Amino acid sequence: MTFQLYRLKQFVIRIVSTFSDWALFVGIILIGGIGTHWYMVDSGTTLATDRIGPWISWGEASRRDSDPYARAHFARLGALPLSSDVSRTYVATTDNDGGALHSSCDYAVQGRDFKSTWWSISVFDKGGAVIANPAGRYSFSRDTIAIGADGSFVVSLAREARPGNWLPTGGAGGLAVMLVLQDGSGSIADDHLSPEGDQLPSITRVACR
Amino acid sequence: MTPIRKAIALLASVNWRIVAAALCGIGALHILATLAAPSLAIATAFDRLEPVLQTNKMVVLPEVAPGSQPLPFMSPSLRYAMCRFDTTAHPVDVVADLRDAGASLTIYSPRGETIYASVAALEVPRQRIRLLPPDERFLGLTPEARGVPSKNSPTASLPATTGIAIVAVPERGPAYRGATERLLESARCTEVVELR
Repeated sequence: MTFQLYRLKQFVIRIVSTFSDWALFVGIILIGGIGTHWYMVDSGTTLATDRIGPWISWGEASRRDSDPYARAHFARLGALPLSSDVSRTYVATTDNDGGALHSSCDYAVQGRDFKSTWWSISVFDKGGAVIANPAGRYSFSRDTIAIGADGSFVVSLAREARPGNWLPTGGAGGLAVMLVLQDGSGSIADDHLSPEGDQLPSITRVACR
Repeated sequence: MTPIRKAIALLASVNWRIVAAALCGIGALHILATLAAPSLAIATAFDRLEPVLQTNKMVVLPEVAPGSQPLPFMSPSLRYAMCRFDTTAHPVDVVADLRDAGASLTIYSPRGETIYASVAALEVPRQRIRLLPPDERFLGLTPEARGVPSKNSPTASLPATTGIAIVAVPERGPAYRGATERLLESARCTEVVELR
């Protein structure tokens, strides 16, 4: 009886050890496969995105020949960006120092007027929803922003009212700033943001609570 | 035992065939998950817009604001008119006035791919896009074929069965609100029962 119990115990140990090896193997594949997919589709890498400072642009957004990562990214996001043939959409979720944008801090988005025929800067929460505020202010465009005589502008992202181009951030938590550049004069090519062309604005943290 | 020998012994004990199999499995799953993601997405843009829109009718959406934002990351600097088109029965004409810088007309497939995109251009401010069923059915003679000058000749004709047409017009402030509204209301999405 004791010997039979011993054999049964050995058998169970063998089964558990075989299955745990397989479970470990399958687990590594699942975590590795889904994890790398999630990272590539959610955050993007230089394979599928253009990164300029804190700004990230999916270069083949909405195009028929777009890469599978861009397709998966926008399908999961549920967004319909303008085709990158006629516009460029940049999204920043960090400031120029790499700190995550958060509504508990104030930021200054500083730049110069773009050569593109039309552009806009908007602030959203991290999920892409506009942030409720009593002023009903969510965005500035070339038509509505106050630009200095030298062609420069500053957009203040802050909870409380600020002079000039103020975009309220309320208590949204994580923030995402979106810049859309549109050009009717032809296709916005990859070298649109060349040293001679437009420079993207900087995002600087001013203060935190 | 020196650290180098320890490392060599450790490497020798690794089953490299298992490691290679795991890497191949990770790669295969990564590719499958990426290719399947558009089909497996819980709420694509098309799904989100379907209840808001009517078939072959242009709907002017309210200003983008909390509670009236059908899609994430929609620029609040633009006003939108949208149409869910279906060319199963008849071709569909999408007409939009793109005279202001920032205005655009984009036609998307249900998978979110751009079928056609146009931004404001002085040369052709009024765009008329004819969406044709992609099958080989006879749609009738065109006015030109009948020797009649066409009243509504399209800027472009494209094959498409279903999708969404989006007209975006820049919101230039309260003083221009009426003009913006009129531009959006002038956008059309209509079935073409007879080619004229």
